[in-house]
Amino acid sequence: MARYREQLFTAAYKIAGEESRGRELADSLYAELYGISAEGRERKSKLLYYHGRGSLEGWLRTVLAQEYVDRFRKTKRETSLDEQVEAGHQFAAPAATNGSSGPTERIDTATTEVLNQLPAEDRFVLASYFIDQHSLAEIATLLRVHESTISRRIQRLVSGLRGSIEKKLVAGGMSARQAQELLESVDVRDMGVNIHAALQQETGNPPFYGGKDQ
Amino acid sequence: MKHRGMSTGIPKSVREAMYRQAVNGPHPAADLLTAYAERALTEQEEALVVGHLATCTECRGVVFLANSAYEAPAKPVVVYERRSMLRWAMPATALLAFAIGFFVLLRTENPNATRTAQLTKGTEQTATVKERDTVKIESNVADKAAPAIASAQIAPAAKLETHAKTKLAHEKSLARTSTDKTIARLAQDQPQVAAVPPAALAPPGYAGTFNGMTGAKTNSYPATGATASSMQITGGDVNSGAPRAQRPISGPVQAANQSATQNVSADTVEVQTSAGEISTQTAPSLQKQSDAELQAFAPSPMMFDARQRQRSAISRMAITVWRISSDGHLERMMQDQWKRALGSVQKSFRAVAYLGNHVWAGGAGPELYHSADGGENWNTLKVKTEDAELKGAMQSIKATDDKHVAIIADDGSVWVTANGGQTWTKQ
Repeated sequence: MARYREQLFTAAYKIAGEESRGRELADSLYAELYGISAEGRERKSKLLYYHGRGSLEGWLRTVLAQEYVDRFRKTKRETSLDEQVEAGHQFAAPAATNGSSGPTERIDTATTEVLNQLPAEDRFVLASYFIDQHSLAEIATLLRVHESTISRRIQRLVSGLRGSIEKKLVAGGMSARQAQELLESVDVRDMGVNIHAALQQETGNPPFYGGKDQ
Repeated sequence: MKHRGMSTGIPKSVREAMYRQAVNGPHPAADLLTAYAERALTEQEEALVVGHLATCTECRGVVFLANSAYEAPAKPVVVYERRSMLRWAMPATALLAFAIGFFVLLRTENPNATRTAQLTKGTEQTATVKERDTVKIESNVADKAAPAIASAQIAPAAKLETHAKTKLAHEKSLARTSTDKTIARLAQDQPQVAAVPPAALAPPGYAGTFNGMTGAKTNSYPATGATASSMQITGGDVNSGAPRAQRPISGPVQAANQSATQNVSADTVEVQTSAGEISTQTAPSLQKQSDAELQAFAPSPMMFDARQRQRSAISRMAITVWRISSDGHLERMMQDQWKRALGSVQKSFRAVAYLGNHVWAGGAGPELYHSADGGENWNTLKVKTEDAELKGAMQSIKATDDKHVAIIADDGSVWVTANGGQTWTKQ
């Protein structure tokens, strides 16, 4: 274990993003790896859960990430409203009412059906990008492809989803225009508007009279 | 909010649907998530894990966090030591220098070797390579025979003047002077003699070399072919008296050819002039190229070296070269060294003349030192008439033979003898 100690601490710092939490995380995992339980009754190392499917280093990083998510991210969620907003709870759809057949229900049904038809990895990419807000580079690194490949893939998936949902809505008796209007409703986070750049541009714009004082 | 870089947004309904599909069920073990990130799962396992990741925000977070902590193994840094470059550069430089040196050596030595081979291949190669030049020599000998006879018939005074001019011209090349005068004397005194032993004129031990010099200047000497049926100069080893192997080279006389080529033989030179055909034998010990032939080559250090070697060979042979040193001593060249003669005489010499084994030297005063054996024995002559004697200093001494000698004094007077110094006339 001493061999991986330095790598463990380095990975912990990267996951936590700061030194104190990283050290705490690494120390905690290090103790668990030696099997020191809080109760002190039995000593069971966490290494027993390692079955050798992946590399030990990767397993250690994954365990560290799990520990970080369990320990800190959940705590943040409980205390931070922003995290809840970011998680999209405010956009959570209300439970579907049985027998309702309004336009909203119809589009949700069509969307769910279309999503379920997508391959798991496509849904994973969409969720990682649109829900978890991971960057194209992060997704590309995990999937071991080029960043542009992920970009094209997402573009293709979104356009495909639109077309498929629209077809389903039209097939369900909805007019094409109405279906398009429903699909136009885009989450504000996906509008692609760079507010910061827009504000800077407004500030930098010359007066409407062309900057002339006369 | 960070800039997403995507212009196309996802429909709101899709986002809500993905939230609805989010699960909080049992999560895959860290071992499986690690194996997924490392592409170590089977297809079935990967489908299950990816399906869970598509709906589980936490597991996606774990996977991305673990992946972000991954540190790519650093590329091995290849450290190029300076010494490694020097280790290659130094032998390469040495090899290059050696190659350049070898190339320069080849460029320098090969022409020299070729030249030396040409100079030392001897009579046989001379017959093939220098045959035309030899024929030229022979033609020159034949062409200049008549003037030589005329020169032999002129009065002693006229001969003195002629030989004085010859002397001045010959001072540029001492070896040539010696040879010319020797042959001139031979042609004059014994034009009908078939064979003359040059050893009689050469000092003991140097006869062979002297004969070589004689043969060398055969080309420029006006031979007596017009009146004499033949002239043969035979040298050979003086000590043994037996001529060495001779190889005649015959060829038609080219009367118009005036080019000069010298063949120097240390052993034997035979010149035979007979009604337009001349045979010349040279021994392979040394061959001398004339200045004309040497000038045919472009001037180069290599050529300069060849000339130096040639002159050195001449100096080794021309033992009868005399001079007056800067401090007034009489010196002669013996084996590449100037050696003082008449060291017992406390006199500052001013002029010297030599012709064969005869040497005349003098300075201030009427005393003229003469040697008939190449400087071994000396006798003193008084340059005087019945009523006058030379009072100034001898400025120049001219000798056409052992009998006819002229002395020019610094006061402008000219003293001439026709009997070897027994009587003098002042002019």
